[in-house]
This record gives sequence, C-alpha cells and structure tokens, in this order.
Amino acid sequence: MSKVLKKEELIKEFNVVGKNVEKYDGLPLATGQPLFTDDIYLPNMLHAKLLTSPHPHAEIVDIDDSEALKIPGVKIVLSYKNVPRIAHTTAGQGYPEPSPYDHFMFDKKVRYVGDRVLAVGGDSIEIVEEAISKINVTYKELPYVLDPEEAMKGEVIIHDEEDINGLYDKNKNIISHVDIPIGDVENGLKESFYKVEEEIYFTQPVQHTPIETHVTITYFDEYGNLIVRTSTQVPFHVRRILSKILEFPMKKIRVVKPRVGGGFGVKQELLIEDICSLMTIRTKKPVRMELTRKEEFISSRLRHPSKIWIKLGADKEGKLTTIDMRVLLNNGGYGTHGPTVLFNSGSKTLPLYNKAKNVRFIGDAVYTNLPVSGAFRGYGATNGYFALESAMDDLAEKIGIDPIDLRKINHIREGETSPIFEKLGEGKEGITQYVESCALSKCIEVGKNEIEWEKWRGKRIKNNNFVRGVGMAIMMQGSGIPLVDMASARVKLNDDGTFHLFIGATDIGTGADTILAQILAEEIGVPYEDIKVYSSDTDHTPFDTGAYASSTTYVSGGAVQKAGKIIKRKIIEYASKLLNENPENLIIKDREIVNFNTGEKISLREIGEKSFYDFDQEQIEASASFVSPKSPPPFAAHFVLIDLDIETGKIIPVKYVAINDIGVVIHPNLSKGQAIGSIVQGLGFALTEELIYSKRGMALNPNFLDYKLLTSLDIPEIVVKFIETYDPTGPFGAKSVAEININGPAPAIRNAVLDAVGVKLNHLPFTPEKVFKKIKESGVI
Amino acid sequence: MLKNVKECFYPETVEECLKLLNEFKEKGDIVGGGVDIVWRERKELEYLVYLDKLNLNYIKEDQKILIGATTTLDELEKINILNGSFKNAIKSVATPILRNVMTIGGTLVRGYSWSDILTIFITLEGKVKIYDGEEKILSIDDFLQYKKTSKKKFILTEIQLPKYDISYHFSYIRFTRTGSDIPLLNEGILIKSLGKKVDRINIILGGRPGFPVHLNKVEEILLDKELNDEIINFAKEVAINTSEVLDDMRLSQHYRKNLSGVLTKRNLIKIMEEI
Amino acid sequence: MIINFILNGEEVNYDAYPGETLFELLRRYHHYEVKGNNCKSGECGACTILVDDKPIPSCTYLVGKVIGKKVITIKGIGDIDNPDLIQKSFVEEGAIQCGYCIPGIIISVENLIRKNPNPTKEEIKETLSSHICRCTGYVQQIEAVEKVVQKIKEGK
Repeated sequence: MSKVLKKEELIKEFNVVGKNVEKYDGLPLATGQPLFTDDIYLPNMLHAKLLTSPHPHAEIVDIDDSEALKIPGVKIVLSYKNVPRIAHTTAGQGYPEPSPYDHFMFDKKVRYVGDRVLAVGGDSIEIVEEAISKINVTYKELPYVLDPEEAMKGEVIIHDEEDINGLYDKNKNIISHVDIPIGDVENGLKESFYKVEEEIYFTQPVQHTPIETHVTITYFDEYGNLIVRTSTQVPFHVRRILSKILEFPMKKIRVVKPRVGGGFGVKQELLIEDICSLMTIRTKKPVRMELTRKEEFISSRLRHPSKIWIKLGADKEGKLTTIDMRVLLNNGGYGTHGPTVLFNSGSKTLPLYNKAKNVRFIGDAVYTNLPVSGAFRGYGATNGYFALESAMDDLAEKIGIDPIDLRKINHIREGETSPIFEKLGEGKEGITQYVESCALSKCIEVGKNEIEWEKWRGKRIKNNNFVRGVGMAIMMQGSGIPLVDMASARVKLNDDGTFHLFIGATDIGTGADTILAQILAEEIGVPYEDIKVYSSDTDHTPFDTGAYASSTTYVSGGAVQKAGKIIKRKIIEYASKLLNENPENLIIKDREIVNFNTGEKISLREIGEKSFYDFDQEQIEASASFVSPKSPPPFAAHFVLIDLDIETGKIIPVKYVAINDIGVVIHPNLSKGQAIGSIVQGLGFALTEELIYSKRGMALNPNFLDYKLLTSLDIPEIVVKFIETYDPTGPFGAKSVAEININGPAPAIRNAVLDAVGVKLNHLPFTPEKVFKKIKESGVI
Repeated sequence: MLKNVKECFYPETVEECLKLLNEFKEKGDIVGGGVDIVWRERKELEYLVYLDKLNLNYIKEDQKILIGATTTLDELEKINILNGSFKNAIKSVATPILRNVMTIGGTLVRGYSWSDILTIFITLEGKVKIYDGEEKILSIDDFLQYKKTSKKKFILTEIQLPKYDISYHFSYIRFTRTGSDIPLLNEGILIKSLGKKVDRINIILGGRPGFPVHLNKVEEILLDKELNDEIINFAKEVAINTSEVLDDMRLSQHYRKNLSGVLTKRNLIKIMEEI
Repeated sequence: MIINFILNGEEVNYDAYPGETLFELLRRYHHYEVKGNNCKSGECGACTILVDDKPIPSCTYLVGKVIGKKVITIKGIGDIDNPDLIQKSFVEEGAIQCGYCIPGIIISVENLIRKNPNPTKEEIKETLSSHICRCTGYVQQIEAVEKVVQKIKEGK
C-alpha cells in the first residue's frame, strides 16, 4: 500500500475546490425554469397509464380490451399479448447486472398488488382512465406468500418461468444467498468474555417519495431516432436495457436526462421508459407517462424490509472477537437489486469493526408477493447498521463501559484493512483494500463534545413527562463500486477561453454538475464561471454508469480531473509552440498562460482563437475515463439527544450531531445539504415512515395523508461538521457524502431510548404506540 | 380533474342555490374551498355550485361571533377570544396553505371523523345556520344528526360562536404523527370557572374515529371542583377507563384510550394554569 | 368555459374545463414554472402559487374559483436576470437540491416576509411546513429565510 500522507501535506490552497460556488442550476431552479422532464409540450402527444394487479399472485387468463379500443382517442394497449418476451432486470446496474433476469415487459402472471398488467395510451389521461375502466382482465388467483421465511419453504413458487436466470434457488424463492465465514464464529462466541446473545431486528418498507414521481416522454426526432426524455439516475443503463428488451438498435436510442426532481435510488431502475418507448415505436407519436403518487408507492420500488439476527462477542478488554450476522431481505415480487443490497448490508457495515477475528455473514434475498424492493440511499448498509450499532450499545451495557469507548477500542483506522472487503463485493467476491484516510476517532471526539455527552449520558433527566436520553452510532459507506463503476468526461476549449465539460454523470439534484465543474476549474486553473456543463445525454456526452453507490464525486470526479490534466497539458504544449518556450516554464493562472521565468503571458482567449483560426489549427480538447480499484469509505459519527414522552411514547429528537470524514470537501454547502437530507430521511425511517399492507399485500397508505414524511416542524437542531482528510485516490482528496448519513438516525435514536428508559427498540419505525407498549411492559411507568 | 363536470354556477341568493341543488341531485354539489371535492374525484359530479356570490365571507362580532360559511380557516386565526387559545387551535389545523383554501363551512359539512374543526366547534358550543327551504339554527351535534337523517338538500350559511367572557377557558390538543398531520385523536375542553371552581365544563374527544363525543364521566367528576394535580390525575384515569374510542390503521383502540387520558390531563393542566 | 384572471400582472383569458384545477389549467397553458405531481390533496405544496395574495396549493383549487382574481406564480416573483432576494438567498445557502419543491416554497416564504418582515424561527418553520422537501431536510431553507430577514433588516 501507498504511504499514508498527512492532510497538511496534500491539501494545498485551492482556488475553487472547497468554495461555496453558485450551484450550477440554482437560479434556474429557484426561478421555476422549465427544466424537468414534464416541462415541455409536444403536439399530438399520447398519455400512457398502467393497469395494475389487484391480486397478490395470479395468472392472467385473458384480457379483453375490445370495449376500450372502441373509445375515441384510445390508441394502443400493451400487454403480454403483444410485446416481446425478453427476460431482463429493471435494475440500472453495470453490465452484466448482478440482479437476476426475472422480469418481462408484461407477463402472463402478476406477483404483487400493483404489478403491471397492461398499459394504455390515448389522447388524454382522462380517455386512458376511461379505457382502463372498460378493460376486462380475467385472473386465476394463486396462493400467495408475504413473509420471506414462509416463502423459503417453497410452498408457493413466485417465479416458475423457464426463461429466467440468475437467481439462486427458484424452488425456494431465493434470489441470492451468501454465507461468508471468517474464523470460527461458534468457538469465538464460546470463548468470548462478554456476549450479546442473539437479538433480532426488523426494518420496515419505506418509499423514496421523490416529489417528482417517475416521468418519461418519448418521441421520434427528424431522423427517426427514438428520444427518451426521462427522470432517471442511469441514462446509459436505460439505453442499454431498452435496446435489448425492445429489440431496437441502440444507435437509434437517445436518452436525455433533464433536471430530476429527486431520486434517492428509486430512479436507478427502468420502470416506465420501456412502455413509453414501445408506444412511440408502434404509434410514431410522442408518449408521456407519469406515475401518480399512489403508483409511485406501490408500483415502483421500496427499501427492503428486513429481518436481521446478530450476535457479538468480546474479550475482557472489550475488543470484539466475534460478529455473527444474518440478514433476510424481503425483495417482493422481483429480484431487482436483491443480491447487491444483500451483500452491501454486510460489506458496508462489518469492516467498521475489523478487529473481530471471527465473522460470519449469512444472508438471503427472497421473493414474496409484496411490492418490489430496490435501491434506496444507504443500500443495505442502512438495514445492517440498525442491527450492528444497536448490538454495539447492548455490548457496551454488558461490559459496563461507555458505548463511545467501546467503539473507540474497535473501529477501523487509517492503514488498516478488513477481510470483508475481499470476501463481499457486489453480489460476488470483492476486492482487498486498505483504508487510506480515516478520521473516525476525531469525528467521535468532536461529536461527543458537541452533543455534551457527559452532561446527558446515563442521567435520565426528567422534565414533566419527558425523559432525556442521548445515543450515538458510527458508520461508513463506500465511494463507487471498485472496478465496476466507470465514468468519463470530455473537455473542449472555446475561442473565448472558456471550457465546455461533457459528462455522462447524472445530477439528480445533488449538485454533481456543480462540483464536477469545480474539479475541472481547479485542475485547469480557471474560475468556476468559465466552465459550462453538459451532462447525461447518451448521444452527446460520454459514458458514465450513473448516479448511485455514492460514486459521482469520486468516480466521475476522477474522470473530470483526468480530462482536466490532459487538456491543461495540451494547452501548455500549444502555448509552448506559440511562444517558442519550454512547456516546463509555463503555467495556467488567472485565465492566462504565464511564463514564470520571463513573466510573458498569453490569455486563454488568445489560445482559443488562435487554435481555431490562426496557428497550428486544432480543437484543443481532451477526454478521459476513470475506474478505481478502490472504494474509499467515508466515515461518520452521529449523536442524538432525545426527549421521550413517557406518557405517550413519542420520541422528540432535540439535537442531532453528525461529524463526517468525507475526505476533502469540494463544496461545503452542498455537502452539508447531502448530510442533512440523509439525516432527515433517516429520522423519518426511524420514527414515522412505513408502508402498511393488508393481509393480501395491498398497501393501505400509499399517500401523504397516512405515509408520514417529516416536515420542517419535526426536525431537531442539526449540526453537521466535516473533519477533512485527504484520500490519495480521490479527486483533490475527496471521497463521498451522498449516502453515509442515512445510516445513523435509526440506531442512534434506538440507543438514546436505551439510555433514557433502558428499553430496547428493535422494530422500526419507533412509533409512539410501539414505544409506549415497550416502556409499559418494562415497568418504567 | 373532475372530468364529468359540465358547468359551474354562481347563484346570488340562497334560494337560488338551493333550487340548483334540488335540481341537480347527486349530480351537483357545493364547492366550498374545493379541497375535498378535488380530492374525492366523484365521478357523478356534473355541476358545481359556487357560493362566491352569496357574500358569505365575513366575521362579525355581535352578541355572538358570526362567521360566514365561505370564510377560510386562516381568517379565523384573527378571532382573538379565549385568551388566544381559539386562534392557536385553528393554527394547528392542516398547513398554512391549506388553511388558506379550506372554508369553515366546507369543513363542517364534510365533517371527517378526524376533523379538528368539529371538535373545536362542538367544545365551544358553536351553532350552524342552514337553509333547506327554511332557515334553521342547529347545534353542531344536531347538525350532524340532521345530516345523517334528513334527505333534504341544504346550504350551510353561517357558523355562530358564543362570546365568551373571561371566566371561560379553552384548551385544544391534537395528537399527530408529524407537524402537518391529521389528528389521530383530539380533545377540546371548555371550562367556565367560578372563583377557582369548575362551574361548567365541556370535554369533547374527537378523531377517535367516529364523531366527537363528550367525556361525560370526566365532566361529572370535575364539576364544582377546583382543579389540582390530584383531581387531574384522577380525571386522566377516568378518561382512560371510560372513553369510547376505536381502532384503525393509524392507532389501536387500546393506545387511543391511553391517549385520551393524556390529552385530558394536558388540557386540564393548561386550563388550571390559566385559572 | 372561458375564464379570465390576472396572471403575473397580465390579464389572461383561458378556455378551461369546468372540472379542472388551476394547476391543471396553468400546466395545460404551458406555465411550467408551476411544479408538482398533482397530488390533489395540497399536501406536498410543490404547486403553491399566490391567489389574491395568499399562497394556495393550486392542485386543489378549482378553476371556477379563480375568475377575476390576481394570480402570481414564481415568475411573478423574479426571473433569472432579476431574481428576488429570497431566490438568491436560497441559491447561496444551499437550500436547493433537486429544486422541484422550490418555486412553491419560495412563494410561501415571499408571502411570509411580505406580511411579517421579522419572523421568528418558529414562524419560518410553520411556513415551510406547508411543503415537503425530500432532499434538503429543511435546515438550509430555514437558514436561507433567516438570511433574507437579516438582509432586509440591514436595508440591503
């Protein structure tokens, strides 16, 4: 491994990196420009809508659409009867995808309430709705199973198709199975001085609820190219999958991603693009489709509900010797993201405590007849951390030490590795890596002071019906998928001395366009304002795997930095010819190429002009790609102060502190926004959010009336701080910040309740009713 | 989009309005704020009758406080009675933008079981003025009964509140999941104090689900008593033991029972501190 | 039916379906500055506009109610070349991520500050509670409003 360098040696004075430059799309968004997928008008556009399954599991015996097709304005009905049958996954992942090929555009079978049955296209949404009400679908209902443990018995088989592949055991409904033993867990536990016996943790189905739901508009351009304008995190994967399942040449498909109104993982999925595209291909008309809020809840994707068993063992000093973790994921009707979310629930959590010699990670991702789970910010780590960080507090209680001290003894440090990195990858084996930057110890120290840990911990201070508690959790994530995620960038110099940056990277509101422009500006040595960004257009920008796995800053940023280095060299070479000077004496500074020996200068504008029209004519440009053998983890320590209302069981978060090590911070305000956004989503996950099902697997609350998102009135004081480290593999030392902070709130609050009243909450979400029942049972009140 | 709606009407008198409603039957309805009409998307609706030209947007103070039916909830925030507690109760309803469209008349006529407004106005002994061919003034309870039993079309035109003097004290609490939630249980208490004693009392529990009801037993034990910690704790227990609440997806019956005690206690403490 | 109202200072006459909402009408006439998924319950707040100086969720507001009224969308607050103080502050404070909810939020904030130039933090939170922002967690939005209040105090 390379020498671990100190931050001071590496973080030089940056001009653009680390500054709060104006968000690239900030003002256009604040002034309501027509930036989103649906903000255009196309003449003769059709509107499309799904008819979804009312049954958890059924065979479609027949579809009678004759009455519907008689309605004026109804143009097309797509169903299993008239679409290509090509097995694929809807997961927008690198090819070949780790997810099983178990999905068909339309199938003869439906596997959950909300599953696709057919789609209708017509002149208006009202006409289409009327048509749908006139379509007669005959179902043969099948036995169904909602519980993954029941599903594993194989009495109901959800995927019995011949033509699917990539899943672990069809007959037991198992999509993916993992069993990684390191050392000897049984013996390890036996010999442990302190033990946490098996505890079981449950996480609930939650939905991403981007305020812009899935929306796509497709049409043919003047050359007969299919344009797919869509709200996606993965334009290049969408193009690839579309080409395959529509049997339409990839060359003729152009996927364009306008601004996206929130993703959080749910748009790392091909959900409606295929329907719009096929309708456009068949009718030659533009087609628009937008999921309603209800459809977004039940017919898109969710965070995997999970059941997690965990046991810990430690020696006399509190050093972890053994971690035994079993994860069971409820994937719903299809296997999208199953293997990878499963592996990530171990691979992103277990290396945090790398001292343990005996580690076992067993897991299954299982089909049931519930709505489908997919990618959601945190991606399995969020589930895993709830169990792991809760168990750590239980262990601290057993040992009788402060939970902070227990973590300090055990957490991974700079220069160290974990066998888990090698054993667990993306649905397969991973890659050995050493941690080259880690300020976790300092994060813990700073956070401990900020929350005033000593003042609150163990004190159980009462104020009328409130008892105060304080809890914490630590966590890590990754930065992209090593040797899988690839990004590329192209840069060209214009004749006014400014640059165009073309990137496949997909800004879904995160500020990717902004920080990638910052990285380019810093690398070349020009102001941020001199960069114009074009992103996410499969015809006009180079390839990028997309916005997921906390990859954009690190992987796409790596590509941009590389392209920046190349164009800088080219500019200097060009200037050296022009000035007849050794390139080694030239630097780019303040929009000029300066000879630092003679002080002679030439502006970038002149270089641009001359290169176009005058001297040694060429377009000065560069392109570069980046793929990393590493995925440097960011680290965070979270602390929460709560007031627990013991009369009602309501938990009120009072103050939340998140101290982050995300490497060098490219844009402090946007990074802070990623952290706070994650924390508030995590608080919702911990306290209020849950999709509730009937006994037949029908969602009962697919609306904002009863699926409760936190509002501005529900958030505590939130303090986010960054302890800067320098990761030698990241662009200007940066790692990632998009996901990590969603992992903390659930375990930190759980541990704060443990501190306040000594009650262990292992079922998410911690609704007042559940908490009240628990504290009542415990005899605290 | 209410796609079957063919026409909008703007009657200028209540008589004209009623005539239209009788003519349209189930195909027509009054638009108050419109929130509920839009949300429910009733397919049978073909005619919308707007009250905008009936001049029912007013708040007048006379012997009583008179509130026109199309007055939006945000306007009610201006009614400064009962030591500001009425205003605070109104401000807890829904969200600011929704209060700007929801009308007091529409909210009462719709009368969802989780309505804050029903509980607040029953507690405060509000009355409604309706017109169904003749003018009637009904208590809210009678109005709910009327709605259930009468088959007549009607227009709610005005809401009336008594003018409370300083011997009256009011407190309203709603239990919610988040800051902009519907109440899963709510309770209003109105007390007239005579010296330190409770001279009159209304305790109304709503959001149970079902319509709001009096907590009769709790009212009984508090009448003619001075409020103190001991009796308030007793009232809490009585509320828990006697409140009639139900299950739904949001909360269990058992938990709602406990909550009814907690809300009772907290409302009473607030009033005790004021007396 | 033909309805007329004042939209961002200009009188407009639109052919409306009698059963549609103001949100649907505005989008149909290409006023794409009004965002939203038509949640039809006013709960997400993205489609908020001003009608007669009050912020309302346009997805629950039937066109029959708007006749003769004064409607202001985010375009009536400020544009790219001439943004309002609030719009600038939201950009500067990192209060915008995906930006989909932002026009509605800025409308509500504009109304708050116009009526109460010196709001407390609680009043700011109360105003923002009309809106769901899934990206930001609200903190930087509260800060952005506080900065505007500060600037107004300093007479900037």
